[in-house]
Amino acid sequence: MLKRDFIRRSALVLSPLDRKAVEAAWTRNADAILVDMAGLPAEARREARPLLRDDALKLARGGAHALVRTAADSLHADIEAAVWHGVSGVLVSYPEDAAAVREAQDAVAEAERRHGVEPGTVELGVILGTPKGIWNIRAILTASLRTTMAVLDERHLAAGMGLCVQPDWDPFKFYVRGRFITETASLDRASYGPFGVHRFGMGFPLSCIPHAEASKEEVHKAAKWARDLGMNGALCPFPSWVEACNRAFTPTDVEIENHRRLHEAYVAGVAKGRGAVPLGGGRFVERPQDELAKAMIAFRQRCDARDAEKTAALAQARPHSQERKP
Amino acid sequence: MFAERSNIWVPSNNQRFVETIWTRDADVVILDLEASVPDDQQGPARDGIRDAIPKVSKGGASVTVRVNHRQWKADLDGGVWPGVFRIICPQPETAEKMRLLDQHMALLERLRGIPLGSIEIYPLVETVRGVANAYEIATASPRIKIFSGGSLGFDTCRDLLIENRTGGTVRESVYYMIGECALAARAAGRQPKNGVGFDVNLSGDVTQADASFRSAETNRKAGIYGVGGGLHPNVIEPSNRGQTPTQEEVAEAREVIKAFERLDAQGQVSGVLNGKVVDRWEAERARKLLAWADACDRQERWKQAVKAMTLAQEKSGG
Repeated sequence: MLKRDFIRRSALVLSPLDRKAVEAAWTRNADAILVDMAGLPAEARREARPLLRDDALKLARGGAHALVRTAADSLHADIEAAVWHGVSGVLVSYPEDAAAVREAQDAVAEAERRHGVEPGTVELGVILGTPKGIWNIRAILTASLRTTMAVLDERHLAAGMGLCVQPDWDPFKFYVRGRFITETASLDRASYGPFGVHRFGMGFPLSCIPHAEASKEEVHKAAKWARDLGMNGALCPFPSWVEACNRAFTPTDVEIENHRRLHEAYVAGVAKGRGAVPLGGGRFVERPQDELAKAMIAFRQRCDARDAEKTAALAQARPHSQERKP
Repeated sequence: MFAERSNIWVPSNNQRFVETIWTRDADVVILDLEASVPDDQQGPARDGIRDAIPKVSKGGASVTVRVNHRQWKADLDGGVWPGVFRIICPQPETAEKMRLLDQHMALLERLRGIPLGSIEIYPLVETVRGVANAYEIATASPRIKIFSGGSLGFDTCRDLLIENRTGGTVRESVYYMIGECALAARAAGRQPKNGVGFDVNLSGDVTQADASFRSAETNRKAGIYGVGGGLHPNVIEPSNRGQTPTQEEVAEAREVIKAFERLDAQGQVSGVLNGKVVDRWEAERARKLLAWADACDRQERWKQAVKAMTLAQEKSGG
């Protein structure tokens, strides 16, 4: 059974051939770890595929969800190598129509069957980074009920549109991000849950010009901006981004305290027969604000539970890793 | 056309507001059965709409009813009466919902002696699903004359799990959503009700008269009419004032039309007046402004006449 209410505020991206990074990844406290096959040339992918099966369990030791990004020109081979027990999902690179997603869906189902993975449990994600992919976004998202995640790859999209992005001019401010967020959030509730598919995206300029020297403050600011737009998490090309993203995509204590007070004021006002409850300073709270408050409080609780889950997994994994040290 | 410069939302369960709102000079009174009415008062509020209609319109305001999106059928039963010219449907997400509303309203119009199809539906899109389906919703019924959506209200924020940020500046997502709804409205031949002055007041304070005026004025200058008002009576007069063209604007519009007519008579398609281009588009804009100014003037005279009649009746005890 597919779970859709997961928390993935950070997805650490790494190459399967960077063995040092793979061995250390589980200690980085990322909510997800994305093994990137698409970043490798064809020959290197042949070398990497046999490693994926064991790596999935390694990566999940610290509580992270293991994901594999497939390359567009080796979809079937990458899925065959990736879909084993321990992998949460595979991502399809730059699909441009529903057929591409259905092809991946069928390949995943077949791999589940052959590898003894519980049917219907491996998720699909789509990485959107071409003009045609954005244009056909609705058809792509609704092509498979396995789709739980969508990534907006602005860097690839900019290149595909012939743009040379400068840090002081945001090419996607007024249309692309809004369209991505609206379409991913507006899917049928019964099939995709109340919030649609999980949205990975980053704030500008790091969304188009990622760099390892970005300070934690810069990363946090960009990630917070992405969250304020409606993104749920960000791909982290560098481990240094993980902590800032986890923090940025979590409602703060101050925000939650405000929501609690608002909810309490609303409940008290309704008990007195008010529907629009005055808060002072010309402000009111009505049902929509209260529904938002309750949703945010519940979301923060899920974030806290996720953090607790990872902490427990890390604590359990660390003694074993210490034993394995020479 | 009549002017809808100030739209004031009134909780239908609040008798004090219902009795007194006519004195505040709004162009449109919206009797609300949704966000401002608690669940346990929905029934009495709904039952009171019929009596509330003549009360809130004593000052010449037009009357609309906002139904609750969960209990829309019962709210239509309570809200569709002579004297109501529009039903506001909050949080529409599908064309099918509009068709169901249309059908039920037709039944009620027939039963209650209201001309068939005369009461409008105004879909007020407040969720991301509504934005995604904007065009389908806007074209779902001939009762739909105006359409709006995409503002980053609390319902949309709940859908996206983001802060509303009143007091802040986070409005980037709204550009796409409002743009999509406005484009869908125009493509569907409907009047968009969204304004461009949506970010003038981000404080959350609904009583700010100055901000209301600036928002109404911003929209007027952008050529967007019929957008103003809010949740508190403080915003009514500033909205009326902000949305009404100034005498200078009316004079300028008349000059533009005359200048274009002269050009047209000479077989020319464009010229220059006071440093600005005059062509058929500018002439069209000027005509639209004059029509709106005329509507505002008629609206004021109508409200004055109705108020005078009301006061005379109350004085005579009738």
